[in-house]
Amino acid sequence: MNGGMAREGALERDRLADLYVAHAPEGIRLAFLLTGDWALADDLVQDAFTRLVGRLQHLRDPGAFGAYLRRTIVNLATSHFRRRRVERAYLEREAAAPSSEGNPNEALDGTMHAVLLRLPQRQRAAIVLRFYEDLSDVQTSEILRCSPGTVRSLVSRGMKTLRSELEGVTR
Amino acid sequence: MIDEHQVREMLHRRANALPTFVVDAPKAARRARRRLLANGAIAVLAAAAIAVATLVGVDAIRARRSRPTARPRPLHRASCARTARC
Repeated sequence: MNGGMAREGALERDRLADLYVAHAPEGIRLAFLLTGDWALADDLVQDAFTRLVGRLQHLRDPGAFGAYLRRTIVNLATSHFRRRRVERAYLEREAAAPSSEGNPNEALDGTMHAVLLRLPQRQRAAIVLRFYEDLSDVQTSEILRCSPGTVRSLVSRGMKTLRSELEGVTR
Repeated sequence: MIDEHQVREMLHRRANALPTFVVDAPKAARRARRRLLANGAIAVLAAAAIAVATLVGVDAIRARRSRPTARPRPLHRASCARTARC
């Protein structure tokens, strides 16, 4: 009896470990693009993972763990910034930070990312999910819990702001 | 003029600039379990506190109800006569 429970526990641990190895790097990248901070991204993914592990047995489709993780990361990033209310000051500090060398696009990338990070959270999430995760409007709308039309509107408004903010920047 | 393609490329470059981090799965799983246990313990404590507070509140209300109500004091005619109000 005890042996069976121990074996079951070990199997579950292995399963959790496999899920973490499979999904954590991609989750951290997504969280970084949404927050602009590696350490925060790592924390958010840990948090998202913890929440999902608690619900793992109740997930309707455990195979879609990646999608659940993405949604949880986006929600956690949104609530993080809503809670802290220091987003603007933080992002301005980040934007002023010196960029690393080696990538010829680094300056433009840094500027573009800084502008992206200044967008309202939902516009930012919509752009990242559409253009980085390559999700469709429908998939993005499921994560953001809105209609596909709203996603298109969020992306359009975000792109408009990006264009106007980066008008003077040339490649 | 920034277009979707440039934004897409920028996002991928930024994401790929991720420093190589060690994915310590067992540690993460342990941490997740610890947090789940802590959350469970906090939930149990909170539920217990709410239950105790509810019982204390209900007791207090019952005690107040069972206390006899104060009867109105009879008027003293003598003292009443002394005052102009009567």
